[in-house]
Amino acid sequence: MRAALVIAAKDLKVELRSKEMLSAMFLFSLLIVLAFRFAFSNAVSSGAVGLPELASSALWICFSFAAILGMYTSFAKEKDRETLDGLLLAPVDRSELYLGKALSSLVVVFLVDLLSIAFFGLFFSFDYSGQTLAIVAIALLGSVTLVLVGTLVAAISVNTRAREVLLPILLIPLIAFSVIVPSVTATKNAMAGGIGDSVQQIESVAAFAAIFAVLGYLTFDFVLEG
Amino acid sequence: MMSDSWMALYVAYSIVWLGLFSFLGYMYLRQRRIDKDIKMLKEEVSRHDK
Amino acid sequence: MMMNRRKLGTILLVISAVLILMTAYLAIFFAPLPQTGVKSAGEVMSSVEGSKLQVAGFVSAVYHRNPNRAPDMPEHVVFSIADFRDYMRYVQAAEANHLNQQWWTVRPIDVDSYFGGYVVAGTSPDIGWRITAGTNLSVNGIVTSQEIGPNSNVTGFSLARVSGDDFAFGPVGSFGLMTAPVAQKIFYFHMPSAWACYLSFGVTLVGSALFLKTRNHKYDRVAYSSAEIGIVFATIAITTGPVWAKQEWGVYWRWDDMKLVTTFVLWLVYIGYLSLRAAISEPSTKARVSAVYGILSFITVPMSFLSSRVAPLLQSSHPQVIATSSGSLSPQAGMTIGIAVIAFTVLFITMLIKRVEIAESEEELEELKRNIGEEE
Repeated sequence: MRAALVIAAKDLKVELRSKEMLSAMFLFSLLIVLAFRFAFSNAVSSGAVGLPELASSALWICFSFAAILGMYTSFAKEKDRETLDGLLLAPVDRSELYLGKALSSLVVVFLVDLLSIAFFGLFFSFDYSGQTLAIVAIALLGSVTLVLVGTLVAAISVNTRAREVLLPILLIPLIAFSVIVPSVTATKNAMAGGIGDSVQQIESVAAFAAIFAVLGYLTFDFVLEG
Repeated sequence: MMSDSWMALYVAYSIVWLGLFSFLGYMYLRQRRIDKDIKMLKEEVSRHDK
Repeated sequence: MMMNRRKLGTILLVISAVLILMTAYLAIFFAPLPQTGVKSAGEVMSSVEGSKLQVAGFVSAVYHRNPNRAPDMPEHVVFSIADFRDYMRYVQAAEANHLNQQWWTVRPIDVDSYFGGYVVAGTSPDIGWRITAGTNLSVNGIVTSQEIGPNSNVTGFSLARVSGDDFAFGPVGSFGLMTAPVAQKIFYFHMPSAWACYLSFGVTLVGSALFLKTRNHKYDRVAYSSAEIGIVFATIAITTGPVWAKQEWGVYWRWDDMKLVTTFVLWLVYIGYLSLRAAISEPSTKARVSAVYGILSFITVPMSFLSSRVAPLLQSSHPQVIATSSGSLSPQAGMTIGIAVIAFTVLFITMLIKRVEIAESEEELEELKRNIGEEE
């Protein structure tokens, strides 16, 4: 467990020093929320789309794509700079490497989530029906699951020729019903009636987090050999 | 009104049959082609050796 | 060894062809169309819109042949409607007062062995008989008992014999019985395809896991062959489904139906599996990495399978087949679907054997090419 924290800390330190990924993600969340703002300006002002529905769907699209971007870059950079070989040579359990990478990705992804939530609230003048904390909590749980499966799939796709395209192709069907649908429903319910309504959805996402964590822990070794 | 439903039945059954048989046919043809390639290569090797 | 396997493959192919032909024959000529349920007339009217369901009749109350009936009362008084169009015409005419309280004369219903039909014509005062007391008959599990008096406002029809001497008739506003359109018989190929698809992906899971454990490439070959076959079956299920759905529900697809979308996602995931394999050139990496993805992608299978059952979490109008409601499948239908599932299982095995053979031959070919390349 310790090794995982160390790896995560190292990743984050590198990030903070270069600020490369963080600034990219800041801009990314800003621009994607803006895109929604422009695309939905008519729909929202005419009342055709309710803000809670739009918020839950748009936010989770933002979270998913930000996560895809974040996880892909974290692995691609390592592979390109060949620091991955250094990591593999170190006397570290590969599964710890998995957890460490997942943890550092989680920090970044969750930061982007918070930014997106803030930007969305700002640009749509939306207060989330006062349920901001619930939405943040759901975002955190969903991001944990996203990151657990995403780290594994990112490691898989980094072995391929068309890695940029393949990560979304491989990841999105897996997260569709394990993360996105329950989280969107839970977010919507939270805004409508409070987080108590969404217990089943939350349990479902948590269950998938456990499943992905176990699978990742067991199989990560096989992905990174060679 | 009734014939519409029968039409749907025929369409669906055709999808099943055509799908399955074309896949099977494709597999048989592919196997034949590979066997031919293998035989050809083996002959070349034996000629080469001689 | 190869020759024996080829012979086995051919035998299995013949067996599966025979079984599939049998299934088709049984499905069309032997299996009866199921009654899709007893609903209130209001529900029937709103749900048949756009669909091709045949309304077999309406049941609302039961009349027992009463030995104490008035002498001018005939023994059997039943009405029936042949199909929904007649009923609609009747309702419209009654509403527009064209009928003058005269009953519609209709033809016998031909539903199935449960109900038969009779032809009656009569005027409404004839219908105003009291139903004998204590008639609490349950029709398809729904208890009904009503009294119809001379002043009852009767606008509908009923079915005939329920069992023995019991007849069902009376005012509409109660129940409707419907039979599925003929397209329902697609089920006998649609469901086994889905079953074969789940089976194939299960084999992929096992093959992937065994490969990671033993590093024996034969398991990898089984895994990706099975995935390909699974995609074929899934494609068949996903294309026959909408053909059937158009007849039964009136639409080809429903995005809010969990079973449909989770199965579509299942299909996408395994297309992803094959794309992953195609994108890696080095054979041992390819096998290793896709084995991990093969294990991961299996989570979509229970999601697809359970989506029509886990009621509170997800919802689907997709019919549940396996042992959920009592008597949901008549014995003939049960036998047909049983043979169909066996047929598709044998077909899966045949296809797997064949496809693995191709995989082995391809690797043999690659090996030969490499050897020749090395020599030169």
